[in-house]
Amino acid sequence: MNASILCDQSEEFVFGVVERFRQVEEQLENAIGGQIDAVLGVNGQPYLLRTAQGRLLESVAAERRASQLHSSIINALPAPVALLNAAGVIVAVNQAWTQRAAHSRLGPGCEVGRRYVEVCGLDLHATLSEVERAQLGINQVLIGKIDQYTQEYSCSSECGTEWFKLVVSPLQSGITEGAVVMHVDVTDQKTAELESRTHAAFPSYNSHPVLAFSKGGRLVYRNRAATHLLEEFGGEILPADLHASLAECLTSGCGKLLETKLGTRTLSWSFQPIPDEEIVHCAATDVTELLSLEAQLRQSQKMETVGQLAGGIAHNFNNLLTVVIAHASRLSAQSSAPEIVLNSAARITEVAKRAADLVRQLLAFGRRQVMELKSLDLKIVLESTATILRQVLNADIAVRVEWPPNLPCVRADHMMLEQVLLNLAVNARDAMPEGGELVIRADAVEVSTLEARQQQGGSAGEFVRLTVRDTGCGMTPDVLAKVFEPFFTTKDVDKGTGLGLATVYGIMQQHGGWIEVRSELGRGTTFQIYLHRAPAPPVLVAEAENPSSQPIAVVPADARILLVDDEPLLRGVVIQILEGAGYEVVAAGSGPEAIQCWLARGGDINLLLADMQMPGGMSGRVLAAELRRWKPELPVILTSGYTGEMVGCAASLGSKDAFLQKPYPMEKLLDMIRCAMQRVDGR
Amino acid sequence: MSPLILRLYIAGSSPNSVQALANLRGICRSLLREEPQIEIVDVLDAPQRALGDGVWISPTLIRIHPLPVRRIIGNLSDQQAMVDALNLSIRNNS
Repeated sequence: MNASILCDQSEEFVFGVVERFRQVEEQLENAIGGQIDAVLGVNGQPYLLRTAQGRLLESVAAERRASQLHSSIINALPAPVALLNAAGVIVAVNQAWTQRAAHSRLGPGCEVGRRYVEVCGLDLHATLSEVERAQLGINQVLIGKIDQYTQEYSCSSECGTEWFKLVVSPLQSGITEGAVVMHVDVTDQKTAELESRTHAAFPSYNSHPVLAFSKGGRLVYRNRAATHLLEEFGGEILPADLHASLAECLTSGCGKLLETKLGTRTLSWSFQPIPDEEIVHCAATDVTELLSLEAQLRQSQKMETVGQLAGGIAHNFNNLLTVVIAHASRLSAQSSAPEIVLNSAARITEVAKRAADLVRQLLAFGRRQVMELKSLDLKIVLESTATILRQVLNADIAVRVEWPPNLPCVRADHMMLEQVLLNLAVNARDAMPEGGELVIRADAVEVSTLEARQQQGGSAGEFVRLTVRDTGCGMTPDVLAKVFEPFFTTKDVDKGTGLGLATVYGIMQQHGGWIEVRSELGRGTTFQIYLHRAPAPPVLVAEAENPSSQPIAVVPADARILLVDDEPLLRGVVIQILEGAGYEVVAAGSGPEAIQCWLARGGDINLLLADMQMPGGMSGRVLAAELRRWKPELPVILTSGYTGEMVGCAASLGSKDAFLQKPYPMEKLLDMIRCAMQRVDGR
Repeated sequence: MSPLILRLYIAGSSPNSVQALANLRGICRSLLREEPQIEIVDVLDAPQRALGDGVWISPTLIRIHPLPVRRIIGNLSDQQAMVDALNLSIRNNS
């Protein structure tokens, strides 16, 4: 029958058949209760019942909707997801996977049908060992051995390092139908982790102890340095009132500084509250060195002050001593005086000289000495030093001073060299509290270029070497390394200045020489100083060192001397001495007054004897320069009780000028005047 | 004791067929002492098997062994009826 064209009759027939068909279906369903789907025709063709067909269509549509929903969800995931079958072959992937694959070496669409591990190795740039681990994990999921496998891995690209977390879950738990593989990008999380680890390293590796305490005083963090400290000393490193300090910091929100003592060391604590977290950060610094430096600074400032004070006292004191010595000299000169008077005068002179020595030492301490380099016979220095040492050192220290015959002279300052030897000897004494032997030896040496290179500050050439050796306790290498550093001392604060050896070092440098030190613990210490050789001093200079010991001779002279000094007592006695020697004296108390006297006499003055430091705004030097404008050949003798004034002004003294250090013996003054006059006359 | 052998005739993924299969699995898992041997036959794929077994309606469950052969038509939602009809030996604790 042609199905496409139906006539009215056949339409009626078809309707009847369909109606019957429907009734049969209804009877069937009624008989069995709506629980059947299909019937089989006698020809063996299955017929799906109407209701089953409808429901099947519905369920297919629902399944399709669900499938679409699921794929939407899967595609919405930013992580690449792949579905593997039981053999580990990729059967489906999401959009994120496709997009990633498109930019990989695989090319788009090539991943389905390939083994996952192959793709993973190529696409994700993972290392071989990581791929092997992943394969093992996936296999375990596929055979149902584990419920989930995760693995973190990194891969590097031109954009930097990316971190992923591989998550493998079974497709259906317990049944080996396949697995879902997901690659979650954890780069941000990993970067943050690394960053936080890097930041955590700052306090962790800080060499200062860092701790954190909770509000209740519980230790919530400590770095390595703090751990070491706590292990070594326990809780005593912490401030005693820890709890109160923590509470105070958190309440006020302000930091706090505290100090703790740990044996000989001092720790400074900085407490810093973090109110939001209710903890307090505590950082400690070992301030022992700092405090010690502060103490050293105070000590050095004290010494500087004492030095200035000494200089000031020395000036006035030397003036007074000059007066005392002058009067004693006058008494001594009275040959007719009773013996008791002469004896007393001699004693006064002796004591005044000792007082002058004391002032000199005071000035040496204040480092206000003038250096005068000249050819020096070491023997004289060694003899005088040995004499002093035998007097000042304890009897249980044997002093041996040796030098060879024909010892060359050195270029040095006598006083300074004596100071060097004394400082070294004092050091040796302190190293030998139980007694021992102190040997001072001088010898002539020749230093080769090679030897000079091995010695700090050394140079090649001919030298005189002074060796100071003790049999004392010696020094450790640590102490030895710092021995010449200013303020370095192993003695108590009040006992040593830490300047003794530093001064020696400085003096040697001033002399163009150098010093070496060797020491052995328990065996002793040896200092060796190297001084430049010098030609033997002329006999004349050697004599000048020893002032004439003749009594004051009254030498008639018609010379007129202008005496300028602000100290009336000194003026008085010097006038008497000079007049006694036959000079005419014009005295003045200041520079301006001296100029008036000069003008009043019409410049008829043969010599100017002036103190360097005077009130009235005009020093002896300025006065001399003023007077020389009228009389350039005027001989000048400048005196001072304070050698500090000579520092740096030696060059400004003319060749006609002489300098006389107060206090001076009257004989020396008269000698100097005679010399100055003769020089003018002999010109 | 010889094993229980069952054969379930279904019509593809039709609703009652899917239901029957799920119900049968549920009963086997929760009620039966031992796992029966089950064969699933889709009449849409193999109508001749149905003809051979004289099965005209899907879903139909046949007890092949032990004899005699018994048949149940429908989606097997009535557990008790099934147990009675097939004379199944069930667990004591259930």
